[in-house]
Amino acid sequence: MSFDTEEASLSEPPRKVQIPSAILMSQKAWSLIREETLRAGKKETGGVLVGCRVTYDSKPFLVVVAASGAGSKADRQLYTYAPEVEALQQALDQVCQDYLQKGVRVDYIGEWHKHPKGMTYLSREDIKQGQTILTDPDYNLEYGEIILPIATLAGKNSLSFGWLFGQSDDQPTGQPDGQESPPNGKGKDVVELHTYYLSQLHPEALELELMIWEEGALDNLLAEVSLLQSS
Amino acid sequence: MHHTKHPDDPFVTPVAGRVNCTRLKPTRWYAAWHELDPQRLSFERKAMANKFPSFHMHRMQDGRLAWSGTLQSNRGNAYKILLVYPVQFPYKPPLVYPIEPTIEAFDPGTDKYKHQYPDGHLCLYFPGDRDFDVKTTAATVVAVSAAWFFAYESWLESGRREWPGPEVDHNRR
Repeated sequence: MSFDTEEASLSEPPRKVQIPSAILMSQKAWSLIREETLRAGKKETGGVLVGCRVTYDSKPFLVVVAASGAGSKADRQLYTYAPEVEALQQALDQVCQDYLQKGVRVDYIGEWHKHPKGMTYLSREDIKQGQTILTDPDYNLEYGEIILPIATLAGKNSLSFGWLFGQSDDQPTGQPDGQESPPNGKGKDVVELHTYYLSQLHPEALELELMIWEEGALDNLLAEVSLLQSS
Repeated sequence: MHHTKHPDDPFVTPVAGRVNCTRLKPTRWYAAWHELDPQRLSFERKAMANKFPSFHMHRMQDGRLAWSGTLQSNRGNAYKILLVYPVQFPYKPPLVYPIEPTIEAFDPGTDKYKHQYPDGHLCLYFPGDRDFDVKTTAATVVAVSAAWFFAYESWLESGRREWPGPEVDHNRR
């Protein structure tokens, strides 16, 4: 079987890339996002997401292996936030290098940021910022797609949808091994994470399903897919 | 579990040597006040419809919301203004720009603008003068602007010597 390994160019029309079935996020990345969100209080914060696209059981997924915080020099205010670019770059380079050692290529795959309570969707300006990134040839967006998760605090005893850091033996039927199921979050501060997807073909935000995976399971998946592709 | 590779998916690729990661650029993420608080936007619309029904709302190119309309002074002069909600609204007051006629409240005595900023917007809420409150609506700001134009006309009539009403010494700040 042959593979299309041509480098994408933004001067070319966008490729017809299948919308991912879901976002697979490492527990470590999710834990960092959750802790950063809780620590930020009422102010906004965020960070970079590092990962790649994989095909698993004939379905496309976007894998997030790592997330960063905003950096100590980030501009964090009530309704706006600008990350410290140098800190994000350092985090991105480090993760890319670490995964290079494992024989897997990962890169910038998007950015997460926190919103005030109740605003679980991207603002118009967020979408515009995302579209600017999508059309910037300096970003290595081979498939012209990014994910822009929004984290919000839902408060204690919230019954709204949320993902909490933790383990669960209750694996939903038909989902890959190592995936964490969403607990109800009763009695704890709940951080909601809504994962939005933008691409050159779909410039308006689509919310995708999020699955939290253990590090080991996710690394095994990447190694397996990597081996298959090299064989 | 059956795994298949997909011909359209070269992302996970064994690599050798140094990876050239994306070089990030500065970004800013923000949510507009009217997206965060649609009820407040509704309140603003109602207040303006009640007090200044001839004013129209606009969305500026940078995404900020604004009102435009014309005020009539007691002396019969018309002033077209643009009221722009700042990103930080309601924690910061809207800015009011005279559009027509061009207003330049330049005070030759002090070689400075009189209650007007260099970009043209009116000085309505200088700290210690009138306090802007988070509940203050655009309708109140437009009314304060009308008072500004009244003072401006009086100041012109005095030969640019006397501004009626209390003033803050802007040079202190």
